[in-house]
Amino acid sequence: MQIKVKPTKAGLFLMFLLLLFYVFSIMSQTGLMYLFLGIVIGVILTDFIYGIFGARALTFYGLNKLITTEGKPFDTEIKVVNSSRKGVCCVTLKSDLGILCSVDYIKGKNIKHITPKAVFYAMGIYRLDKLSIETLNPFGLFTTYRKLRYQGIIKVYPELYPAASPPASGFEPMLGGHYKGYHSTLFGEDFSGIRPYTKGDPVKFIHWKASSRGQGLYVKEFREEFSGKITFFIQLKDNINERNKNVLNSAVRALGSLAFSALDLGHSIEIADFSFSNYFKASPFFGDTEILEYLTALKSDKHEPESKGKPVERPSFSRKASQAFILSKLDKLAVEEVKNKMTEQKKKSVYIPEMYKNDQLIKEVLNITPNCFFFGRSKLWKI
Amino acid sequence: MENLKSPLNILILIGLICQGMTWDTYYLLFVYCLLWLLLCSLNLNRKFFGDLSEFFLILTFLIFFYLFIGDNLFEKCMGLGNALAVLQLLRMTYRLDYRRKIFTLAIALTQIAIGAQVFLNYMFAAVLILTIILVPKILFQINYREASVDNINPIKFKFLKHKIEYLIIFSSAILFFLLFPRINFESNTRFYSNFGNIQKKPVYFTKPELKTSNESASEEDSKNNVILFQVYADSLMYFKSFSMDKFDGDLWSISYYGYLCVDKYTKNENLMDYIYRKVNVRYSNFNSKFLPVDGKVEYIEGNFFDNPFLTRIGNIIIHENVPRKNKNYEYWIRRKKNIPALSDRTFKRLTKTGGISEKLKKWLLNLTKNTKDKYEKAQAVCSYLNSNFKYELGAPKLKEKNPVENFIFKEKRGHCGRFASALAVLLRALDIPAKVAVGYMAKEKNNFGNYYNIRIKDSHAWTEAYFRDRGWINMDATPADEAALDFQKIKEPLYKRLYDYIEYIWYSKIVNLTYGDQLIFIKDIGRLIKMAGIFINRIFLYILLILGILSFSGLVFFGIKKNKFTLHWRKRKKQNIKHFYDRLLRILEKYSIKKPDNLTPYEFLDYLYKNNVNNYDDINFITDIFCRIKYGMKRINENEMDRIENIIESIGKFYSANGAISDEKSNKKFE
Repeated sequence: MQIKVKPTKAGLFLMFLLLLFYVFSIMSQTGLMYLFLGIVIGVILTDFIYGIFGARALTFYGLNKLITTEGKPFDTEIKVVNSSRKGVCCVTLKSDLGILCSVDYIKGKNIKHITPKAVFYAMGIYRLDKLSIETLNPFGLFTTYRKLRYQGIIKVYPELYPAASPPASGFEPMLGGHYKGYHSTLFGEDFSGIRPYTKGDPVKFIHWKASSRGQGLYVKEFREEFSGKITFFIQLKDNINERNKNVLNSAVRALGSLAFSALDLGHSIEIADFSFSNYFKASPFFGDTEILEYLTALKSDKHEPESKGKPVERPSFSRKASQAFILSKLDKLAVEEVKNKMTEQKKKSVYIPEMYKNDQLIKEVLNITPNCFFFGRSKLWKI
Repeated sequence: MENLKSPLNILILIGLICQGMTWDTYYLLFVYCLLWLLLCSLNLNRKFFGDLSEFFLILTFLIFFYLFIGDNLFEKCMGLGNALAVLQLLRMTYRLDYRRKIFTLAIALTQIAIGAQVFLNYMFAAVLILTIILVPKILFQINYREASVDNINPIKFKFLKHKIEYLIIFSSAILFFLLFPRINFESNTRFYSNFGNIQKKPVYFTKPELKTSNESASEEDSKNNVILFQVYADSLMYFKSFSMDKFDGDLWSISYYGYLCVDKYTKNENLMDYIYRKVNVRYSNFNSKFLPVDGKVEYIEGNFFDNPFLTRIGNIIIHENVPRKNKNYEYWIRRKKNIPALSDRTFKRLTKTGGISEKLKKWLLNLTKNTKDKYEKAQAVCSYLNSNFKYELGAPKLKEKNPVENFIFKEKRGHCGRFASALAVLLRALDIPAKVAVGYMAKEKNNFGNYYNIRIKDSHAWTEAYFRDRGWINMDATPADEAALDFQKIKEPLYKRLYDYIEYIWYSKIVNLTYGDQLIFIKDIGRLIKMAGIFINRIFLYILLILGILSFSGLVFFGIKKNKFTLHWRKRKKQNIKHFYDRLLRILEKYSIKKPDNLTPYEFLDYLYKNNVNNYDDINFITDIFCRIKYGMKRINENEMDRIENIIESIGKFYSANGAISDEKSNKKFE
């Protein structure tokens, strides 16, 4: 347990005062000054001792995985346990990322749950290294630092915004799908009518109210429900716009927003990057957390060499699915990639960063598909 | 009300009171308190001056107080505190931030420190206690409020909940006070004197004189009980202020040599080897330039003088007796007496009688005819005066011409000065160098504190005589008198002595704890540790023996009472039982019945029952006994032990002959 103690400005000031008093006491008429000095020294000593005790007594739980969303407060809490009998005040938990949280007072033999106050504005997975606590317990004359041995991660999920889902294709009947077909089935939510009972119809679909009229048995019918498929391709390239913001982050945010809106409409989605190294597939009833974790873990290409030289196998994408391309950097290479990945007879849409508003390549993209969108930090709009 | 209760405001008030007390009158104190009360009750939150205006205002006050208040640096420092008091009051008009709060605390502490110079009585104890309680509270509150987000239910630093913290602070104050080395600057008195008026060379101030023919002592003085000095000493008798060596027939005075410096004291010796004396000057108007001491002083220092020096005739003179409160000095004297040699010139000077008559010479020869040496002669003269003369205050004047002769042959009565003068003259007539010493006779010892009270009525004069083989010796010719020279120590009532002792402790050991006191304290601690070490070393074996006997008897007593000694036996039994149970398990294992680890003994018993194991009742008995002893902490008797032994044996034999499983199910695979 590494503990370091440093005097604060107030502590240094009090020590300076002590020195002044000492000089004064040398010339003093009385020895009472020494008693007085002793009190000040006692206060300093108490602060020193209890600062160390306070720092030693604290244990933190829940640092292994902290979850938050870009620009929003944390969703998870940190549990702080004070094992000493004395209360500890003014505790700050720090890491190499900055101040995580601070506690004003924890009573002796007590537990406190704290939501970290830090706000992260860029999604990703951050390693919590060099964790340390700082206390000014109890008088604030010394800052006591204690290095913590814990290591953890902070997962910052992308901040999603409402967006219109890209057009889907490859519709297949699916209960709960938002697209209605022309045929009727026995399953579904949208009641379309009744028909006479035929042999083989399950008994539970009998419409008892209609059957009670005495004209034979009738069964309920519903409109057929369909859901489509969308394949998202994201270009993972670092790009900084004129406002020094990472465009890749915006691209991931746009991808997340589009993916969730597609899932909300009951479509199945597939996500992959241009190099196919990050493949993900989700059905409409898939858990949100897993998608968010996938999006959070997306990193730019330059950090991920292609599996140490081995070619990555192309995942088996759905052939009927529509395609949505989200670009983080618009250049000729990117346009070529989009062209290569596109297949005919499918609905396509391309999402381009806002910074390329006036780029000439836009026309070329529009030639590929008219379904082109710009995306900013928190919105999408059609070109 | 909240403002009145605020620890910071209370400390500000204490600081203001301390500051107000530095003035001779109570007006300022009253004004400060009134303003404090007003500002607390108004609870203002309005800044009347900007930061810069505030700074210049306080600067103006500081300059004003420095220039126009006080005569010396000490008084000017006191005056500066008043400017800080104005700042404190100003800061009570608005909410303070962290930095300002710390600064306000520092100012309050400074003012209390200034108060420590003024409150020399017990009142300061209350100030100290309040400071001990308030300072941690304030610092905690300032720190906590800085860190906390909401102050809805602020946590307070309560005295009863933080006893250990307060104990640390209190102990540290005491330890620091006792052990931190006191360093006195050589020029510390400059702080209290009027700038640079200290003269480095001795000046001839009003010379002390003693006229033999006159009766100088008054009855008023002899009854004056005012305490002049309190002297810390194991034994003390003659406390000499100065000696007079020059005699012109009637008048004793100090010669040129009495002012001539022979030694400037320097602190370069190991003072632990010398006898330590500490003198508290309780009489505030003490302004003499002669320092009263007893014995040959090796080193002397005090808080109201600089550069004391020893003169050729043994007087200790100071350059300036700085007027200040709470004067004290300490000195160290040799344990062994030093016998100085006198030069012929000095010898001649100190044996000048100023002319005595033939009649007196003959009388003197007659008185000392049966003596062998000079010391005996001196003793004879002294005892003659002691026994045949009478001590009397207000005795008639002696003739100015040959007053000694007049005193010896005619008057035969008088005060101490007259006896001292007569003896000195008579000794000088016998070729014995002699001086008249003036000082005090210590009579009143307070046994609680091992110190002497010296009062005005203890003033005394005696004679110092020189003998080649004995050095300078005090000889007192004054006859014992109930009023003046009662050598038996005066016994005052217990409560008075106790009160006096408390006062002495406060002034001598707390207000005036000096380097010498610290040396004694350390020496005492060292001595105590040494004594304790020797004592323990001597009786170490006995202590060990006694402790051994005590612990053994205690063990036996409690062991018998609580059946502790059966524990081992029970353990052994338990082990035996375990051993039996293990044996049983081993036998069963031999016949492919293995106890699974996750089964308790009773569950295993059930398991055996289901599988129809032979000798089930016996196994049940052993299991029952085993659980009863292992988990129920029950005892096992001898019969049960024998029975278990027999059962185990019989099970073993039975199994070897018939197998573990009964015939009916022997074909079934054991599960």
